[in-house]
Amino acid sequence: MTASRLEVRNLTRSFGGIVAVDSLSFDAGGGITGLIGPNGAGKTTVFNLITGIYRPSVGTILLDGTELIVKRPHEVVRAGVSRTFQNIRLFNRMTCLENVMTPLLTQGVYGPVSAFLRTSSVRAEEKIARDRAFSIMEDVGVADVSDRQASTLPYGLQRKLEIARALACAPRLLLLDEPAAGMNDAETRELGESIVKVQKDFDVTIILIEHHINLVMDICGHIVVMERGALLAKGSPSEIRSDGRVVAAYLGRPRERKKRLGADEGTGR
Amino acid sequence: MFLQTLVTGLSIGGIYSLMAVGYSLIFSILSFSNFAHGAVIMLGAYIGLALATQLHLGLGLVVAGSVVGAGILSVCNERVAYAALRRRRAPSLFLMISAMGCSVFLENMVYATIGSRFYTFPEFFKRQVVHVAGSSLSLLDLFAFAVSIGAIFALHIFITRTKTGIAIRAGVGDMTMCSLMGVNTDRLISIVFFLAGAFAGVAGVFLGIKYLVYPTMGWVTNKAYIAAVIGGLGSLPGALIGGLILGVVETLVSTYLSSVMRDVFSFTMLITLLICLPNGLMGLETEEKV
Amino acid sequence: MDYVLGVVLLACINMIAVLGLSIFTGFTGLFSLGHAAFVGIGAYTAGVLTYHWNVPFLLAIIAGMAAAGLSSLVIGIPTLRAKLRSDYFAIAILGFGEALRVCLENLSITNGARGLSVDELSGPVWILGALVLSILASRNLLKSRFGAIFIAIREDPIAAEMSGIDLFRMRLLSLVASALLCGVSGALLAHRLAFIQPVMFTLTQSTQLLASVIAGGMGSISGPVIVAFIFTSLPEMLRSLEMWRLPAYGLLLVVIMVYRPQGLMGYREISSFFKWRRAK
Repeated sequence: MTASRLEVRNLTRSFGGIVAVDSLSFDAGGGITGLIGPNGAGKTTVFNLITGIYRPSVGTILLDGTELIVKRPHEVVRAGVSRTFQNIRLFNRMTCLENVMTPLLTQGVYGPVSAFLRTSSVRAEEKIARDRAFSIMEDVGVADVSDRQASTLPYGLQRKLEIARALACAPRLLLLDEPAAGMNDAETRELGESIVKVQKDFDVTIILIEHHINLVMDICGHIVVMERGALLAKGSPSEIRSDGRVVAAYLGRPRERKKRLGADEGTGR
Repeated sequence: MFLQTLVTGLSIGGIYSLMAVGYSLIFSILSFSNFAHGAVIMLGAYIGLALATQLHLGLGLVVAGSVVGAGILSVCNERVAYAALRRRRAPSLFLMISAMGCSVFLENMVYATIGSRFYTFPEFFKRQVVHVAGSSLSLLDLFAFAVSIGAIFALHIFITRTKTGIAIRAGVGDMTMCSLMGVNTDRLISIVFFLAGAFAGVAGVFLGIKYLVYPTMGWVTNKAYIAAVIGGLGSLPGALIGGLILGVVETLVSTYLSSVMRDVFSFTMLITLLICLPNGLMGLETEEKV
Repeated sequence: MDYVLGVVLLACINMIAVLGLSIFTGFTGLFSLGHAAFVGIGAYTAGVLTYHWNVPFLLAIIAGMAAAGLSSLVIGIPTLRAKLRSDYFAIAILGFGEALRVCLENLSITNGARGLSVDELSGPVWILGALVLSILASRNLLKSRFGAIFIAIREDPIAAEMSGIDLFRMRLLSLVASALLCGVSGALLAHRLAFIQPVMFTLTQSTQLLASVIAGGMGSISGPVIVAFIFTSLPEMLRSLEMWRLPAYGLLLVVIMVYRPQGLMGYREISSFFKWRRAK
């Protein structure tokens, strides 16, 4: 199976008078693509546009040639896109296993009448979903906590559980929104390894929004840099590292970036 | 005939607006629909009634007393029923259920203690009418309309020009940020609830004068809620415009079509509008943040 | 003895409606101020059928159930498709209930506001049979993939959508399932009391249903059902305190929200107390 290809063309979305994403075009296919840029650059908005939560004002988004922007969010998921969230969104009162089972059960085929009667096909389908969910959790490394309630997990495991749940949607394109946010260097490195592993094991194209710049440089084969909604640069990690504009706008001034993180967190809750 | 219908509609609409302002104010700061607002309006009417019939006060003092009484009641309501919930950041569904509980409790307490009797206010206006362009308009209607518009205008000035008003608008933007910046959010919320209650007091007295005072008179406030939604919850100009539109449309429907169908028509209008324009006429676009 | 049996049967009828609302509010997380309307539709459909045309009781119950289900589609399709905020949805369904009351009061087939006297057909076998079937069906539905989907929607609608759940269709399914149960409850109620009136199905009744679900606990079947039983039978036993029943419901809603938002059995079932104790 060849890797899936996402083509974003001329993507534009404005809220009121503010242009959050401005004529953005980029491709992502095979491996891991990093999407970086200062806070408020519109990265999460791009994810929201790809997943159908927002409709773009202008532009097209094609996944392997299929137009995504006409689809409703759950149809986008069924077309092969899944994601995690910047501020973790788990089904808190469910167990971890149930969290991962939910996308699998959603793909189920039996109808409400069989459910009322609890036919044998219902039970068979649930068993399949349970086994599949467990195996995904093993791959991501959260199988040990499958019985625990999701809200009781430590932060790092919640992030991983969210990835497991996204993988249960059987995606061809996986969007990760700051998966390493709030992690220390060791945890970040370990998370990076599991992302690389997931990309290979599940043969999925990944787009990664991340502020841990070392992580991005290590694992991404291709990087897209945004600033104020528009494309600033794209290329391989070494090209990005030596790009004067990127260094000036984002990479070169880490101290100021940290300050901004505290002051104008515009995309978070 | 048409002019008269229009003015009657506007005067009812004015009272709807007064009540709708309460919903909008509270929604703008806590993002939930305070279904207990109707009960506060009803109690405002009873307070006004007591002042007028027991103490024989004039209209000015009756309104003032009802404003203060309903305002305090509204603040107490917040302290008892919502404060604990908002501190632990409960989902707005819980706040709504709590509000619904307050509404049921207050309404039926009045029913159980004061009784279901209908009371009338003493006549402040001797059914005077003025004649304009061949149609007779009741003085009460004109007065109610003028007071409603005046009060909403005063509120607008307060919100946009005073320090407290600006703090409230900041709170609308972001409650957490506001408290980080050293604004006392508890006090801010109490002020907002007092304002909403004060408007409920005025509205209660006018409703009582125009119609009657009885425990379930708060039912009318469902209309006010509809008005607030039509205008866009959380928007003051929206509450005013929504109230006036609803008042006029309703009066037109009951005059020219059928008074039985009036309420059905309002609700149908509401549902249609919500489906076509989910944020009302003047509401902000509120897409959930992801 | 007859009196006690009467109270118990009435409580069982209420339990079916509460079960319905529990699916919608407790499991799917949507707030309704109008479910009494579905009870009313069930009651009037079944009542009119047996009164005017002597339709067999079983058919009348099924018709009442179907009518409630269909009417839930009428209100549910436009409002749920538009993804209204939950408070807007609550007011829309309240408006639907009001519109229904006005219609019932002005139709001749329902004998208007004076009410309709029907035959007393719901005996203990009918009522208990319907209750057991309703509980089994709801339990199975909620244990199935649909139950998991409803809970996911309640916990986080956006994450649910991003798990591939069609919010509109699943919320609609939950609404229809709850309306079906309310319809059954209404059909039984009409033929238990032998008399129905439009005022029996208004906001007050919707509030009682909601109070039972909240007090029993969101996300639980057994909690609301137990509480519905207590709520219906207690005031019947204490007739003299009748006028304090509604203030007490109101107060209860507030107290629960402030002190124990999970209700009696929030997110658990009574059976979990008898199961093996699992390590934390």
